[in-house]
Amino acid sequence: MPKMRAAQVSRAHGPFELVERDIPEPAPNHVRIKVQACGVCHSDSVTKEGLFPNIEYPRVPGHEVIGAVDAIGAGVAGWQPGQRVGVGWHGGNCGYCDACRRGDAFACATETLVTGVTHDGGYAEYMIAPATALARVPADLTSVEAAPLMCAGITTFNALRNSGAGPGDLVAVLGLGGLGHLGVQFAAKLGFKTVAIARGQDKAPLAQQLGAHHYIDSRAEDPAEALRKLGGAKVTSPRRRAVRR
Amino acid sequence: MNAVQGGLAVRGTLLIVGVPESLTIDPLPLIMGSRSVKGWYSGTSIDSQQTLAFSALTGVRSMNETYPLARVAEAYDRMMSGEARFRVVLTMDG
Repeated sequence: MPKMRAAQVSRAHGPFELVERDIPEPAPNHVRIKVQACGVCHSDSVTKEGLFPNIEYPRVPGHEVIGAVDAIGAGVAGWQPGQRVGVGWHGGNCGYCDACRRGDAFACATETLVTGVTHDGGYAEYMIAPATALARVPADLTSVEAAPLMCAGITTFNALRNSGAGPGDLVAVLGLGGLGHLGVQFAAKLGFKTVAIARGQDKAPLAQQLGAHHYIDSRAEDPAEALRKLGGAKVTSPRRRAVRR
Repeated sequence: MNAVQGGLAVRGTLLIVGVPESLTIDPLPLIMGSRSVKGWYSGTSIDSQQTLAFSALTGVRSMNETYPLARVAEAYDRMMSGEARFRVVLTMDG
């Protein structure tokens, strides 16, 4: 049987182990992906440190996956081998529960599938994903560029576009890190008057480069007061690390 | 937290997309200005697809440090350090 390389964690707080595994076969309604790139997200600590109950180990983390469809399980329609696809935190949904039929597939009540947590993710040369978890990847994004968009990108873009802010509204993004550097770009491109808030004057040029219209140095001034001077924010999107080590 | 609630406009929203250890909200300004605190789940596969398409359309790009799969432990530590500029990505070809 052909083998692949994978990085797995065998217990909560355990180290990464580089292992050889059999290349898995896709079950019905699943596809196999030949992984090209996988982002390393702070939420991978959920698997690495055992932060969710009942994680079955060994587990391969990784939920910012970009690769090519490599094999198709029975019953999969709409996807062909060779297509470039992405898989994020949302690991799939049933399609028939009340939440799914209501259009709230993110809250699927049948089974909470999380890529790299409830099943193996993208820290490997191949992975299996339910067809419901697949996104198409445009040709003009490289796989490395696209990978972080599967969690950091969708988290900021989808929250901002559903925030209730309209064109020209003042939107503040707190922090200029992994999420913030995308959040500022999305806010500006969505047509919001975009304020970046971070610590230190040295981040100001970066904020401007990412498209921010204003920069607030939270070391130099009170960000709440600075926002009020700008008329008050329709939305502020604070960001903190998910879990401290 | 919470350094920015006081900067919200009337009907403004404090949008929570990360998980702070705790979150303190001053209730009176919420009521007096009809302000909101709101959470948002990242999204499903169609939301991911639209994120990718919007990024391709408008030029939004992630900024990354890449590591081959074999250096996964180093890549993870780099991400956890908070020092990466700005995301860490594993590649499978190395």
